Amino acid sequence: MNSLITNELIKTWYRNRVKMFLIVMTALYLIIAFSLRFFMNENAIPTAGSFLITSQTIINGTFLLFYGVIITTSSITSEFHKGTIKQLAIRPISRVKILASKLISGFIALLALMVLYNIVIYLVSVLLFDASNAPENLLVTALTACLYKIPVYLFYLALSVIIGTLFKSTIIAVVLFFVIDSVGGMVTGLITMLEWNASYFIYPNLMLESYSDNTLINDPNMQGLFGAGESLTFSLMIILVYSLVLGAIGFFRFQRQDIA
Amino acid sequence: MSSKPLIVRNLTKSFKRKTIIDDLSFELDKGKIYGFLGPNGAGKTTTIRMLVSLLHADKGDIIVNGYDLKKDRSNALARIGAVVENPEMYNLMSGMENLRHFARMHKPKISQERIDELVEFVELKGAINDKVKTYSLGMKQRLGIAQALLHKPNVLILDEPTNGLDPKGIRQLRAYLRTLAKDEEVTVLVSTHLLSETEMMCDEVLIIQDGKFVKQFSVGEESSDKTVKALFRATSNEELIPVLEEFGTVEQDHKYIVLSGIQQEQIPTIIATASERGVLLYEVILKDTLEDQFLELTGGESA
Ligand SMILES: Nc1ncnc2c1ncn2[C@@H]1O[C@H](COP(=O)(O)OP(=O)(O)O)[C@@H](O)[C@H]1O
Ligand SMILES: [Mg+2]
Repeated sequence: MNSLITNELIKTWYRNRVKMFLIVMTALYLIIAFSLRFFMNENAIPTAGSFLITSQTIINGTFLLFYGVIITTSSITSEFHKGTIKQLAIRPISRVKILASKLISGFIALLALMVLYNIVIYLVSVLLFDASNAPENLLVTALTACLYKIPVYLFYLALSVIIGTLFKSTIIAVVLFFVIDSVGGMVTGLITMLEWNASYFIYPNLMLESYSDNTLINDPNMQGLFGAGESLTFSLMIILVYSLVLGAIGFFRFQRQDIA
Repeated sequence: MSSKPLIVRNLTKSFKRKTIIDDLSFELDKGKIYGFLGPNGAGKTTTIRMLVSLLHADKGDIIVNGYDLKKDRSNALARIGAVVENPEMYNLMSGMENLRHFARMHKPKISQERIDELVEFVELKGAINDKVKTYSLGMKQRLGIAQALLHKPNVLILDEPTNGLDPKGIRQLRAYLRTLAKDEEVTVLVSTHLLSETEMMCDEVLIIQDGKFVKQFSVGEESSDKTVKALFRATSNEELIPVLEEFGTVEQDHKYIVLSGIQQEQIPTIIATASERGVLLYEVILKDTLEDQFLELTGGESA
């Protein structure tokens, strides 16, 4: 299994131009951070706390998540498009293991990027911006905000697996990502408006930050209004069930399908 | 295990109720090169896909060195190496990275020496660290053969490997396959739709058509005691007919008299007999019945 994961990580490095992603993302982030710090009106400069949490929301919640979806989906779809899937599937290794290695390496890649960027985010926040009267310990805040994102990553990667195996299309995964991300809130609102119970719908349960008592993390201005509000354990269970069901369908499909 | 390297029994596969492979059975012996011959659409690729578990058969058994592919998938697949249709590789990685990638998918661990040995064998040493996207089709084909041999399989399966190869590439391929069969006792199954290729490359030919087994025979055997067909044109075709009738079955087409059911060795005698009777020949054309049979089977499609 380890060697399969090694293989997948190597292929990801080439296929998804990770080097390029790292350079562009880091450069953009630093440029934005420095511009905010040095070219803004003195009393409009954000505090370290608000810069930290805004950076995390945008980078962890959108850019890395999005890239993780692309990495995982394309690790499946590109093998089908290029025909290399044949070379994998004729090895004395079960298809379940092949797909699992893709899912796990997608998760490892995403976590590695998360660790890397959150170190950068933390350092930039405390070194460039004013951290003197932060309402919370910023290191603890940074770590907690990361932890809240991990179950969400799990769900989206399970979604990537099912899209990759069912539709063989990275485009569909990308579109679905945006649909869930933007329409999710509206649908939740609609369900709530019709006085149905929205708490079994996946979207509000992805807003795990709403359960935090950290005032920086649980900021209604940042996180939108639609937390499920049941309980953290409840939302984690919902995420787990959705992920398992989606993953299981993907694995089942991959196991049974004829490879042309 | 003393079992045959590959046994296929009653293999059947349908797509949307259309039977593509129909009760196909054959057996392969150790260290021989088999031509898997059939016109386009005969079901060669479909059969090969089932042999390497890309497709699930509806019915039938595939047994590799005694391991049933259905019940003992990894043991069976560990003994097969294959290139199915085009040798698709990871274009952004080098040839060596591709080989290491596939080597990591086998147990026990495949050594760097084994990889180097194969690179040497397929003559890719000079280009092995270049990205695969710079490779010619022939080079990809050779890299494909190298990756199929990493784990020292007992059976090597190549699907139309000569597609897109130039004559030099084909000669090279033939030499590799010969070496493998002789020195390492690998059983090779090469699919092709060209009879001429199987005659050049193979020890035995296995013909399928419309997914059905047609015939299996050894190439040498067939040429030593096979009957041939010859076309004759003489000063007087009318006088030649009674002479030829003494040797075999005679038919007449617009220009030639066709004599079938004779041995190749009889032809000098036939020519001598004709001239003794005062019939002189302009032309004698020897027809390969294997070619004819194949053309008949395949409705005239050949190269
Ligand atoms: N996935 C599929 N669905 C439907 N028909 C197929 C499929 N794959 C192959 N066929 C049909 O099966 C027949 C045999 O194809 P194939 O095995 O590729 O032939 P060959 O390799 O001998 O040229 C063809 O008629 C082809 O159209
Ligand atoms: Mg074919």
